[in-house]
Amino acid sequence: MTSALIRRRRTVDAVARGAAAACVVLLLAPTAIALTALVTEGARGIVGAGGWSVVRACAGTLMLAGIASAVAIPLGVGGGLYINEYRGGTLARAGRWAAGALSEVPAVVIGLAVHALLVAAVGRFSFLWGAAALALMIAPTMAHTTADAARSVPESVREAAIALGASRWRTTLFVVSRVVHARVARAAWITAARAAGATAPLLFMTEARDWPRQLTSGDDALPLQVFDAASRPDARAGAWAAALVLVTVAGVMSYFARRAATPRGHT
Amino acid sequence: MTPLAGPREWPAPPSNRDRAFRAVGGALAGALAVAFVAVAAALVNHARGPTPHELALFGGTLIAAGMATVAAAPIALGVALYVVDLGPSRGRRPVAAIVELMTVVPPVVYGLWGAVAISPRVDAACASWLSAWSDAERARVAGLVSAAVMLTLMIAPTVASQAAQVLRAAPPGAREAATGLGGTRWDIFLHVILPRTRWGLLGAVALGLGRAMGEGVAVALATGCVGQDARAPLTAAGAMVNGLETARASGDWRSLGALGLGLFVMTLASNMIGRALVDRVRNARRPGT
Repeated sequence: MTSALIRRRRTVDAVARGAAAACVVLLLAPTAIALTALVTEGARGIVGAGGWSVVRACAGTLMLAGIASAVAIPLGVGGGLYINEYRGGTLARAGRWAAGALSEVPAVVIGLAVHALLVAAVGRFSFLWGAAALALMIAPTMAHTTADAARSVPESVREAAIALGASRWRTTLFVVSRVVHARVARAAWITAARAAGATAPLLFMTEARDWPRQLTSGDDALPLQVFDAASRPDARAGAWAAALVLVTVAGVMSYFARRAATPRGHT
Repeated sequence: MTPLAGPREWPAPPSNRDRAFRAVGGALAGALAVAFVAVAAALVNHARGPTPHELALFGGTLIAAGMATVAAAPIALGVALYVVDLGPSRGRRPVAAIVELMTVVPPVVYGLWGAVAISPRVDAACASWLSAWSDAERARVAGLVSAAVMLTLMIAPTVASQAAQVLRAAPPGAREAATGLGGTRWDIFLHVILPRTRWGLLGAVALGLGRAMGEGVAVALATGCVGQDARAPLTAAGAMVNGLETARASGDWRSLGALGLGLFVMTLASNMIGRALVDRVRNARRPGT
């Protein structure tokens, strides 16, 4: 009697576990196929055609993502701390809402908006404006994540700081931000990796080039190179080469994210 | 006993440094609000009323993103369940790491792979199955389906990682209590975890929908909207990438503005709902913590 029920529940459990494993296979199998294609075709492309231009585009991408991160990550983290620590105020509420709304705006829309705001209004500085567009993608995400992380810091931690006589700015900067450090650092690497791979905003910034742009053009970035070469069937080898380097860059950054998320020593 | 109800009731009066600190932080938070207003204003400024063609593109966006979401949701939820509850303990961490890595793969790379591997196959399949249809109809269906297949692969990792965060946020005590009563993993999920997290899981799916609707570059590449023999774009975001050169040459950005504003509103609605649902589960204040 009971054993029949238990047996049935065990069967259902086994079926559910099998289904979950099947979902994993279903998601990872196409990815494995794509990854194999990426590595083999990319290696062939790097050996064949795209040596120097890929290196320069890689430097361009690192510079773009670096400038954007250097500006946007401190801005976003500071804003996020304010949003949580001074929550209840109008400014904090507006900032929280804006960060949540902006952090998921599609990259094409960001590109169009930055084009309208900066390129059309101020003039052509495609490289800097590209970095500005990436910064506009990074900062809201960082603010949102930081505010989220700071919110999960127990109030008792702040109370302990108060009991030791710490002022409010010290508490925020040296107690709360210590506690959230690992989570924020991880988010920073992930966000920067995503920004390094963003293509659409950069398409809007590189003004008035021939379509399709030459593979070897100024202020190049890896995503642009992939995009250009992918849209020309005769240049696919270059596209795979640039794509392989781009995925490697993103993968290395997400490795740093994982490392940042596992704190060592005291924290 | 009531705890300090948040930093507003700080016990000491602010020093000058506190005031300066608050001013800097407020400026940063204000900058975010200003950025949002600037983006919205720029889009509204550029836009005009949508033409029937642009409305059709929004329809295409809804169809392609909708198909992708319907296909990705069960797979992604299955993966999330595997990572948090159902998988063997040795399998969970590597799968979680791979899924996280997949969320940072750039859209162009998916687009390149879609153009090479997905789109030709879908075209061939449509050519053999839908041979009675007219060429234009068949091309439209093939384009939407290949966009949907690629978007499925793109958003599934995002949905899975958000859903896993939601599942992890379920109260640990409930899980332990159910284990103590002799529940199987599936029993625990179905009767204990799911009732507490279902809205959050729905939110994770809504976030995936928002991302699918906004994806432009990958869709444009995979459905052949750029390059020499460009095809007509099928989704609003794809049309924005496709229309870039025309707008640049003519200096008329209003069509792009209309598409951009529409997309902005659509993705904002979907993402805000998704965020709110996910955060409600994740940030729930639990007694005893």
